[in-house]
Amino acid sequence: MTDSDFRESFRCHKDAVYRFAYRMIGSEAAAEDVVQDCFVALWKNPGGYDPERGAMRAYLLGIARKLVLKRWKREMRYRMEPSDAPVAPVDIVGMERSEAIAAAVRALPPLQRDALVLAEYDELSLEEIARITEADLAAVKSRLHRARQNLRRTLAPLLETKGDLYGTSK
Amino acid sequence: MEHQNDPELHELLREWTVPDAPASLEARVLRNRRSWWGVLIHGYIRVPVPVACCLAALIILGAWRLASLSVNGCAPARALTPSIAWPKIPATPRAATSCAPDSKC
Repeated sequence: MTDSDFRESFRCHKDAVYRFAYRMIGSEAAAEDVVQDCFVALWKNPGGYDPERGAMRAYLLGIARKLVLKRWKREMRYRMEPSDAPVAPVDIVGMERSEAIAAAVRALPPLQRDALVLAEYDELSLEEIARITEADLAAVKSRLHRARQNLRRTLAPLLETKGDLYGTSK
Repeated sequence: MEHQNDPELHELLREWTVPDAPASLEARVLRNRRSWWGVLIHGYIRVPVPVACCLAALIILGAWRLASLSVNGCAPARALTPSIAWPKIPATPRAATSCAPDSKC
């Protein structure tokens, strides 16, 4: 990878990687660290990216996801919870709408959270998410379904249709 | 996308916007890459343990071989006893009467 290729990749994908890291971690400084480590990893091992296996953006998001999980493990914040682990209740009363959404997404278990962020915000296909998360397609579908179910429950006050899609109405 | 089957939730989630990466990040990332000479100074290589063990064994063997060669290749110094060999000077016969008895030679 030449210097200009690297600069081009950085300019094209830095925002996507930063936003993903920020949504996952919730800290600007930590998200910047993840972006830096992600691109340094690309610089050190450009051969790791195979264009036949997917887009550069998906590859970089995969590296960023691993870095986020590594950071959580180091900070003892990450436990391999099953993807159907119960979500701690989030009190969104009095919060701004965007704050409430952020709190609800961050309350999801890690495996549901990364699948949801990659699907809803980065608009990756199920196959790409499966490749990035090293899970099979059915597992990704299941995690996404549970994540949306949990979000519908938590964010019910902000939704017009309250929980009838997944049978969560009370 | 085929998996976005909940448009209402999707719309709501879209309300959470996140700023782009700060401009300072570019300088930080580009500075963090090392040049080739930087790698010579700060770089490291990962060596598998069996290879490292073989290399260490070869170095030890080589050092031992060198040491043994230097011992066998030179003869030990003999103890020297200091001696002075004085050159023998042949005695020259003194002239019996080279001067006259009254002369002051």
